[in-house]
Amino acid sequence: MNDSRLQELFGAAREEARESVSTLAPPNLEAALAATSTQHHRLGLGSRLPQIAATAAVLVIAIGALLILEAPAIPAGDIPSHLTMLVDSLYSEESFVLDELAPRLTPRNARVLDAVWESVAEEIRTPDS
Amino acid sequence: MTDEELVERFVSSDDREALQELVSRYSDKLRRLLYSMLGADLDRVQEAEQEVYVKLVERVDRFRGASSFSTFFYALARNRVLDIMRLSRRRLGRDTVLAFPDKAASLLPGPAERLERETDAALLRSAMTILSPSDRFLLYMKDAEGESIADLAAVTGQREGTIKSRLSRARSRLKRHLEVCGYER
Repeated sequence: MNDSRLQELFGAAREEARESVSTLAPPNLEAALAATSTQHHRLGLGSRLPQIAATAAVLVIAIGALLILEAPAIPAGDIPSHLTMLVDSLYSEESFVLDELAPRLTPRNARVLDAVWESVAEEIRTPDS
Repeated sequence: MTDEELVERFVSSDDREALQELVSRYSDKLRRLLYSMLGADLDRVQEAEQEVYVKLVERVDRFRGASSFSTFFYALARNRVLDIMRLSRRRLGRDTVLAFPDKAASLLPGPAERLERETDAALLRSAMTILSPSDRFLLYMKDAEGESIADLAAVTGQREGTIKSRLSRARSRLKRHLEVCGYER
């Protein structure tokens, strides 16, 4: 079957749909408006109180649980030196800041942010000053 | 008066004539779409149409003019009709079985040309049930109603490239199906 034959079928479908729906009565907008106002009425504050109360209860429980649970503690002491040496050998801090972090700042041309990162980079370049 | 002005009049001053005018601009096309999507059942068309207008009245105040009203309206209609089809599919386990084209045609009196058109339309509707509802929507709106790719992309929230490839795949499937069914005219 070629495309033009398919187009003909669609043309026929559209025409047949047009003829068939032309027998329908005009849309009943008053019914749609009435249905909407009934829904609004049904969704008034009074009928939504149980839902609001349930949501508030869930929130209170969730916040309480968060307050009771403690975040896992970070192990005390220094980071093992072999790890820091490994990271240092892979990437210098200065390059990391300049190459990786700075370009991710948005907007990238923000002067204030550029200045902040410049000063951080400068500090890393001259750690003893 | 533009669609957007009519929306403004209805939302700000509950002008029902403005809503009536707005709806009258879109109702024919909406009905044709529903008729094609819902298996040529006029009762279902009217029911679905009513649901679309209820949604329209509920949500028209969210229309901010970021897109055209036509896009807003057809996106709303599409979502509603896909919901209806999903629900009826769940209820029936599959799409509505459409009348066999030859039988449908034999019931319709009229000149040969009309009879042929009715047969072709019924055949196409029947064949389109092999497609997903959202592909059916795209194909009908593009090939029967002549909507642009850009408009369909806006209505569905998909990229134009996606719409093009979906249309192409759906058309190929449809043609293959029609050929397998022995329709080779």
